[in-house]
Amino acid sequence: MQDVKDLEKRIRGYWHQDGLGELAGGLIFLLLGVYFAVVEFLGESSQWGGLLQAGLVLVLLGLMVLGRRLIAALKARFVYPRTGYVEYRREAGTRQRALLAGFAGAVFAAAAVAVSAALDSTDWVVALTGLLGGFILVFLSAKVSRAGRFILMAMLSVALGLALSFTGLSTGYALGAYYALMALVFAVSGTLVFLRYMKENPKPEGTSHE
Amino acid sequence: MSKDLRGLAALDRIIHEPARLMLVMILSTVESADFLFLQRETQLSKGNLSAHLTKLEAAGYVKIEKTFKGKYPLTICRLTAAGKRALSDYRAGMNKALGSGKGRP
Repeated sequence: MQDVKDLEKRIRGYWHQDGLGELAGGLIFLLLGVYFAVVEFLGESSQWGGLLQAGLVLVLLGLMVLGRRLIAALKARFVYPRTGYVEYRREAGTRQRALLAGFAGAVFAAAAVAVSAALDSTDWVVALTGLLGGFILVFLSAKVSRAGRFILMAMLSVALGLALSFTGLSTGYALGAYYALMALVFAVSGTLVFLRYMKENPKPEGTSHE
Repeated sequence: MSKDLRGLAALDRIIHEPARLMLVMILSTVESADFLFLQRETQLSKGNLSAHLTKLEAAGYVKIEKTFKGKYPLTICRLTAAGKRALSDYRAGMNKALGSGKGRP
């Protein structure tokens, strides 16, 4: 049974072995960073700033759709011809768990804002964001094999969140800086992994399988 | 000879073959996988893999379909309900037989 678990873990790790998920994640983080910085720049009281802030959920959903399409297109272009295609099993209750995780995330964000408001120090939002990012990356690392780099990225996420919370930047700019720097971390990691993947897996001759 | 051990003779020979068992086990952990992925995972030659997949398909354990992802042609393989049941029965049969010899060298 342990062998089957290991096999499942290894096959789940296959999705991450090309670094494309990190590259797409980096782009999404960069756009999120720009979003927070623009909202802060425009100000909550301005019409555009208010509209943008109210549309955060739509922005997040849009970025998720963009990320999925981008990854699918890149994998079809670079990965499937080299190492093959896998469609992962959707276990029962995955959608419910995702909704629950989203709800928990929203509650966490609201709690972070409430706590920081109570402490009269909005800097905590960035520190907590870094902590949450680190937690997600550690969880990811535990779920798949050969993904130790996520531990390093988790440590960077926590360190960046904490460091930015002491810079004295306003929350919007600090969040913008956090996401932009994490985008850089994702981009560097994704690029290195992708280059290694391309080097180790040259395209096989011809496209015929049988 | 115990009854459990005699059960080994009744094991599904389609799945019992090591290469096919590998294929069925890999496919049991995913929704589907293509020919190239299975070839890399099992390290079988193209001809060998093709022959084993054909046998599994003939037994109704694997469904094979040819499709495209973008411009890239894929030969997608997925385990059928009969294949999942056969693997489960095989696993139970092996556990029963090997479990009877537990504790012996």
